[in-house]
Amino acid sequence: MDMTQTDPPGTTAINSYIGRVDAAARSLPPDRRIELLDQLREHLDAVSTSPDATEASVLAAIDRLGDPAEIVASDLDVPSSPASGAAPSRPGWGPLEIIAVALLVGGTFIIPIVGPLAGLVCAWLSSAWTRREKWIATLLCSGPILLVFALFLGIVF
Amino acid sequence: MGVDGQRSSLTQLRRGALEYCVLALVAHEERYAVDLVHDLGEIQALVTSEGTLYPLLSRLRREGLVTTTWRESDAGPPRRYYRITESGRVALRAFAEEWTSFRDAVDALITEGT
Repeated sequence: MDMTQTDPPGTTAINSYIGRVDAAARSLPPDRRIELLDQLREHLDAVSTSPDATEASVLAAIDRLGDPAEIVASDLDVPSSPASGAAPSRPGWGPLEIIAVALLVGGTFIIPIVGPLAGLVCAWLSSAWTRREKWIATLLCSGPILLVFALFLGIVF
Repeated sequence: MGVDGQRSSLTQLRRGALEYCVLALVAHEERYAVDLVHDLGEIQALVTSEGTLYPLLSRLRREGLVTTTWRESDAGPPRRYYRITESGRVALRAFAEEWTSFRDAVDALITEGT
């Protein structure tokens, strides 16, 4: 059967391109993957069924659509809502964060208990960590202190 | 900020502005998806590849800022048209105001600095 007689120009190239997008889109939720594939196929079908379509015009349209991986990446990257805007980027580390970590790690060798506590205060003042991360740090650092305190109480009483 | 950082912050800036450019393009009349993407693709300062516009259109639809309608065409399969919604209009108006003061502030500082 001679396909070239009946198929619009560029059909093979379109199918191959859609196949590449499909493969690249595996990381997308199924509904978004299907929608993306539908949109791109509709776009290329419109080009290939236009009266003046040629193999070259279809290939140019595929080229303009761009790299499947880039298209899929843009689907994954976009922030979830324009109302809330892009996720706020995290502030980087400054002196406060370095002091916090230094005190949390080594503070106990300078002044036991007080050193790490000062580190925790610095950590809570910093905006580089989330509240959750700060709580984890607090529990991890205060755990040994509480343990020592509990042992101390056990010995005294 | 290295060249990579510069490129990625430009990408973010472009991406942020682009969705409102799309809203502006469908604000006055509904547009056939293929024409819309083609017209936007011509603006190279905004769009790196036409294909990336489709995920953007889908997201705007999911967020209720645009709606899609299917229309029969004389030749070929039905066509997908995009139109702005009322909340799309609200978002566009809010952005337009912010953008003007943002642009003026950046322009003023950049002109001073170069």
